[in-house]
Amino acid sequence: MNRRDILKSAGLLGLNLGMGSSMSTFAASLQQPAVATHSTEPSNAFSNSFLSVPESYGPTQVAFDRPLPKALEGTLYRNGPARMHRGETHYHHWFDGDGMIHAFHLHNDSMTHNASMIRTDKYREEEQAGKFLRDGFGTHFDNGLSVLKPDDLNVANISVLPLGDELLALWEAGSAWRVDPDTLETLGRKVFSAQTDGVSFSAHPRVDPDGHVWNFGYLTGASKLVIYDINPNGALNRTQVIDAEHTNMVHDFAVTEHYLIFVLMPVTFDSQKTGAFSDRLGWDDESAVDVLVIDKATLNVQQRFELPAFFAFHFGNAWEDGKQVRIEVATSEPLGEFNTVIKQTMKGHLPSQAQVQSRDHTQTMEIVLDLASKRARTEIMPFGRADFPSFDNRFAGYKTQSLIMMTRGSSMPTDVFGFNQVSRFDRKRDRIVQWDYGDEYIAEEHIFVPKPNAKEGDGWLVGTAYDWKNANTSLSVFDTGSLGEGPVAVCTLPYHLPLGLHGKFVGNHT
Amino acid sequence: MKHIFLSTTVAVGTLLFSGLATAGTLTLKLTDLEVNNGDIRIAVYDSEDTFSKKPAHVLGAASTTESVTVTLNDLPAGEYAVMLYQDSNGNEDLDSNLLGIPTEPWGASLNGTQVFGPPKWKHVMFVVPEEGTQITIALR
Repeated sequence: MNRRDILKSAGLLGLNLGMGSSMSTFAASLQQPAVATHSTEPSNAFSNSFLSVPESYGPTQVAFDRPLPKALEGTLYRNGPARMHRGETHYHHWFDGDGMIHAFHLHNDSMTHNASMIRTDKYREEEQAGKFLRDGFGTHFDNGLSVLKPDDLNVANISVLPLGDELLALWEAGSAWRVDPDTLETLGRKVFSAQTDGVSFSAHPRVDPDGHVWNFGYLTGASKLVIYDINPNGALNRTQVIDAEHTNMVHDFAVTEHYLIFVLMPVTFDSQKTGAFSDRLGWDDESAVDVLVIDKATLNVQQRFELPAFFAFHFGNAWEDGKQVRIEVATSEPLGEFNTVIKQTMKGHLPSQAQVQSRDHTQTMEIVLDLASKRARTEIMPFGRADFPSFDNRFAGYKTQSLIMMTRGSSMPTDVFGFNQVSRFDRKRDRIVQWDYGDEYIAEEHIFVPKPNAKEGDGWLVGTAYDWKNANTSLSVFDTGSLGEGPVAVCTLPYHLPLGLHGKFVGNHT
Repeated sequence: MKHIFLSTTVAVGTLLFSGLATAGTLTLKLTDLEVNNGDIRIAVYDSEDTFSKKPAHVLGAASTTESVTVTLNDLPAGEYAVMLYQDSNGNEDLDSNLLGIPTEPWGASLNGTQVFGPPKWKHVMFVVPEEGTQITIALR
């Protein structure tokens, strides 16, 4: 029964005809639900991906258009904010949405997709209440409930980590959540130890080539970092608390053979300010970026550096080169500006000229720390605006020649947030090769998957892209050797997925 | 270790009952308890100066049901604040993790005030009139 039929059966359509404007206003209000319907304007391209997101997807099997490389078998797990609306309450920032785990199983020249919402305590409480109960990262509710513990806000929506037999759904500021890698059922909150119970387990853990896992946690306002040293089997080996300023927001870090490196940006926090959490964050113009070099063996700070301030969410690979340490960095527009732009984007508002310029002037760079001279500097890399770095993780912490980033093609409509190209920087040849999805796509993170026994950087890229004109999501596989010629195989789902954040590829034979 | 969210003073305060005649009853309705998982330890403060440091009254309650009611009689009219926690492991302290975040359920007399992290006196202060009052506190 459509809306007109419902009105008819209720006698309302007849009433409307005779009762003038008040009833037509009433009827019109029924045509405008709180969640807008699909339109294919560029300004709505991003936000439309969050319309009509169900509790789960699939299993949906679709065929690739060409045969998959034989050795590429496994599952791409992805996480991202998915639920932006509940009852009468709505989130306004991309990072607010409850997390959803996607599994894209690649097998026999086809892909099977399934996905489930991550049922955190927060999620289940709000499901029962029929509305969002507390603020999100970037959304404030005037009558929201208090936040007594960071996990009160945990949406587990940023990334995943396969660890032991488990798959962990990761947020930045709270506990990890355990998810069954086969059924995607939420199993519970991850507690590594009594001392780390409720300490955040951040969304960008780093895995050494031998499987050793490093991560950190922090609490805004506490001026401390907690280091996690985790054995390949998933058991917690050591923790260490480090006193550090500029730890109000720490998204990512870098790891080399001997060091953990924190690049700490001067994000301020004003607990007395009202509004959403992101509104309480500011920027200290007077301060530098602090770089801490922590010895993996002792977990103590070995050296400190300062750099002129910049903001970045993500780092690529990092390595030691004699007495130098190099860290690949995807810088971003300033955090406050990013938050403003993404909230506009979620509402379908256009970016201003100044915002576009600021976005397009961000750069990818390398931080170079000279441990002998105790000096730090930055060098520009040739990507321009880029993010979601990915590299050959078999060489994590060791020099890599190949860095994968998502970039914006010049034809991508200025109004559309995000990226539409996948790019590979080849250090040896000092050149960038890229594939452009076209104007009507928003391409998500593409993950490097090594070919068996291949040299560094020789592998496949697996990633998803949202066709916002046709409202569907596809998954493409590229060979790094022929990236510029386009994907070697593509499959397209009969539906679209909410634009997400990060993932990991788990090979069937790894 | 210093608790970022809540002082440990709850655990070490002394039990006091004042017996003033012109006083009311404070009724605390505590909800969202973990049933039979340790006693509830309650600190009642009567000034901003002593808040989180030296409770005027310390009360206890068993966690036999999900909600319990605790009364404090003969309380002189005035300003008060309540902080409490569930002592799940019975060590008479509020356990916390490496960052000072409580790992046991806790609550405060927020009365709908929205706080982000440890409350200040202004967030948790309420007035007990001569005829007494009732407040509800949910543990988390």
